[in-house]
Amino acid sequence: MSNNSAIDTKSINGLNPQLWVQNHGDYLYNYAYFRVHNKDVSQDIVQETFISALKAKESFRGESSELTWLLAILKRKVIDHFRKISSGKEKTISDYTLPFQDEGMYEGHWLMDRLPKDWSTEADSSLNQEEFREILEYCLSLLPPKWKSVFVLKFMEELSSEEVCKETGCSASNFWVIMHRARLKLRECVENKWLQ
Amino acid sequence: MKKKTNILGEMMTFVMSNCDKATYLISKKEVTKLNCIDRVRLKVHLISCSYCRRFAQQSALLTKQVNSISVIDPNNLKIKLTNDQKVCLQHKLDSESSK
Repeated sequence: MSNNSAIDTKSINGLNPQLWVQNHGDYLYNYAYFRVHNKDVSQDIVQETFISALKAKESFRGESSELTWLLAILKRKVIDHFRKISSGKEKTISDYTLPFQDEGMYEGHWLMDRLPKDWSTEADSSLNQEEFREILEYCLSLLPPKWKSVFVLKFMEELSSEEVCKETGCSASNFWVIMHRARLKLRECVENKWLQ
Repeated sequence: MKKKTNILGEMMTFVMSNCDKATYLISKKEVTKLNCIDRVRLKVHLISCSYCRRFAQQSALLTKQVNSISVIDPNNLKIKLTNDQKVCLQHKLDSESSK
């Protein structure tokens, strides 16, 4: 993060916009990518962040570091992205069939071929942590847009449930249904990849 | 008449959850504290259902791992902007600052 003196830079308010790409580009890009799982969208988010930051540079008070300040702007862009993709028409709810019997005496019980399998031995090993994370990231990226929005905003951005609902336009009861289904689907996806 | 005979059944369904409901409560528990009734319901179900117990364990692991991937380590960035992307970003930034 050191300012390279060879480059002609103008520090405004303690900000160095000319060095943002060089100094913070990769970090912000990673932050966005591991939430939205799309490289083009992530690049757009970083770009919008820089542009908004330039416009708001007068508001930088130097109370936080330049990166912290940029990150706060980027986080807002990430939320905006999820708000956008959540407002699309949802047909995805019906695409996922629940792993439970839907009629008869055992209604609501696990379907025999979709019972949770044992993955304790592999998942606990620290050697496999990296692989597990990669699978998890992959499976997160496969969630339907609205489920992913709710899940990421809740567990990665750590918004309150009310804020998540406000941003993604879901009712309180719908929020819990999405939480449930997203988790069922995510768990099953991880299991299928993990035990492959 | 019918009402009377159903009381026991209703009490049973009140306490006993099926796996669909139990996993719903397990996912809810990952976000918020369950109310007293739901805690009892879940507990009773988990006593008799090893698959939902397994689901609960895996569920906690998933939450933990999702939390951990949300933290970006600046010293271990998984992906990098390509040169082209950097040029493009810099160009936008330059044209925006000269406005």
